[in-house]
Amino acid sequence: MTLRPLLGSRRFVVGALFVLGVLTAAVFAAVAAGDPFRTSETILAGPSRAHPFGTDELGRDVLTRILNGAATTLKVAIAPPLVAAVVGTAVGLTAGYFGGLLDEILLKLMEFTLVVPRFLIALVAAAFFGGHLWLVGVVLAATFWPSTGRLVRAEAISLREREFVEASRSFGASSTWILAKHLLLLVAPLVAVNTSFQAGQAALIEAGLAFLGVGDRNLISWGAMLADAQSYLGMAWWISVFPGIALALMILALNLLGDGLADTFDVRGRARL
Amino acid sequence: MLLAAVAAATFVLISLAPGDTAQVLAGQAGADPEYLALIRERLQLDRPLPYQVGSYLQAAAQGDLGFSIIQGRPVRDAIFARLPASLLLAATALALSALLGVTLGVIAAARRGAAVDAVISVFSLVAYSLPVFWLGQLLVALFAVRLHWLPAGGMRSADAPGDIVDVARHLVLPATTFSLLLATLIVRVTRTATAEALGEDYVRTARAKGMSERRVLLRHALPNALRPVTTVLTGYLGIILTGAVLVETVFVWPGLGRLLYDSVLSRDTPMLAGMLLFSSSLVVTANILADVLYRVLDPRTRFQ
Repeated sequence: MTLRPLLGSRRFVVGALFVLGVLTAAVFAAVAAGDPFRTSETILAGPSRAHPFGTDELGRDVLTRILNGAATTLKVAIAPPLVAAVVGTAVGLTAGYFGGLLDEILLKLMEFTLVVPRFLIALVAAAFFGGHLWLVGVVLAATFWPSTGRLVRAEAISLREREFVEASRSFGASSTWILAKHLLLLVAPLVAVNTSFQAGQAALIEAGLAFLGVGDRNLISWGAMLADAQSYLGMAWWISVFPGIALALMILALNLLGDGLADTFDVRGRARL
Repeated sequence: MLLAAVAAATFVLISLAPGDTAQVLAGQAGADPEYLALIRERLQLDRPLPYQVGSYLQAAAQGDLGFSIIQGRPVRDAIFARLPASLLLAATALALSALLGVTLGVIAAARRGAAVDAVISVFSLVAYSLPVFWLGQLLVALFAVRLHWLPAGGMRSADAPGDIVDVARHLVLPATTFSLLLATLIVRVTRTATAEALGEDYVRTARAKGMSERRVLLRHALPNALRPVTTVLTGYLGIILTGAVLVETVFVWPGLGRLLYDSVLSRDTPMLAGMLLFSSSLVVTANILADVLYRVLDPRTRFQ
């Protein structure tokens, strides 16, 4: 399997470039951009040369805040889905390949975690334990891995009866070897697609929590910026429109990434959120 | 069984949270210790956790979800009081989105690879990526704050209680926002399913008989495509419930989503536990319903 065909997918390339752009913006914000917390006298000023995206109700520069908020979104969009991909793949392969009682226990565990919508779990957890970003990350990872695991399990079940696996087994290959050498590579595209969609969902959930006021108050979050904008809708469209566009484009980019991967590796329809 | 496990887990999770429920209920800090002890005894907060979980489950099995001090009534009553508003919003949004989503999905499938297909696919992807609360905010800013065409939130005006036209006017913005979210899901599933159906043998037969393309599409491909659409949609129930919470919160719609949000803010533990249990039983019920519906829609599975 080579990654070259991916460059032929316009969706993948556009999505990847945008995510890279946001990454650059986050790095730039950390080293070079102004102080996102600095207030000024010019409150709720429209876009101008000094403040390209205007200022908010405390006179803070909206562009600077958007650049600084990128890091929050990136952290939550990257870490939990990756953890979920590793755990989900490991559990899914084990359950699907070996089957039996172990499979039944693992499947029950995965179904159990999928019954309550993850946003509601995150909402309740954030409200009661304080919405620290790491906590949201833990909740997301804990609720993402079962859906990855279930997909991988189904795939592993259909793969374990295939001829090349039998052949490998007849040559005396150990189960570990077959899992690592054959099945892992074959489920990788499915996991990659699923992980990118989860990344988009993670960004959305973080913003949603911040919007509802249960996010991490020490961090700049695009969702929290939208919540602040709610009170000034009639006066200052720019404090809602610009962070919203940033958030929507980020989620779109991650979904494009997933779409591109799905098209390239022909796993469309099998990967779900 | 699954539901009992979910209920127990929810209860334990909430009980583990920092903060003293008795303290919150008593109001300001420094409440009379005797009063605190009384609250603890009344709510059985002084009993060990497993005992609390056990008695909660036992009551829940009989339909008693406990009492919400903040709402001032049993949790079950509070849920049922808010249910009609949620159902009204959800049903309207679902109807709108089914109309829009199925139409666009079928057009995209019929013109696969053409410009229309590309436009619809980009539209659904972009709309799917729009945070639903931001979309709601923009619509409020435009139609309520700037143009004054529609109310910004709530379900009824204070001066027109019970007026249907008034409720309908309040319904427009939240229903539009919610239905756009649902439509994006429906478009994608319908397109894939219809495209798949168009490749089947019976479609070739119908075409060979000289049936018009339009009739093939609407009489043969679409009915078969709707089956996967219903099942896949139940798989998205989590997203749909989440969307309902966010939409109701933005538009101050007096439904269950808003109740959940208010309960989170006021740390109404029995209310939250009851609502999580309610939403998970909704998910489980929807999955069972999807199975039944699948049988009804697919005659082949009926006789097995």
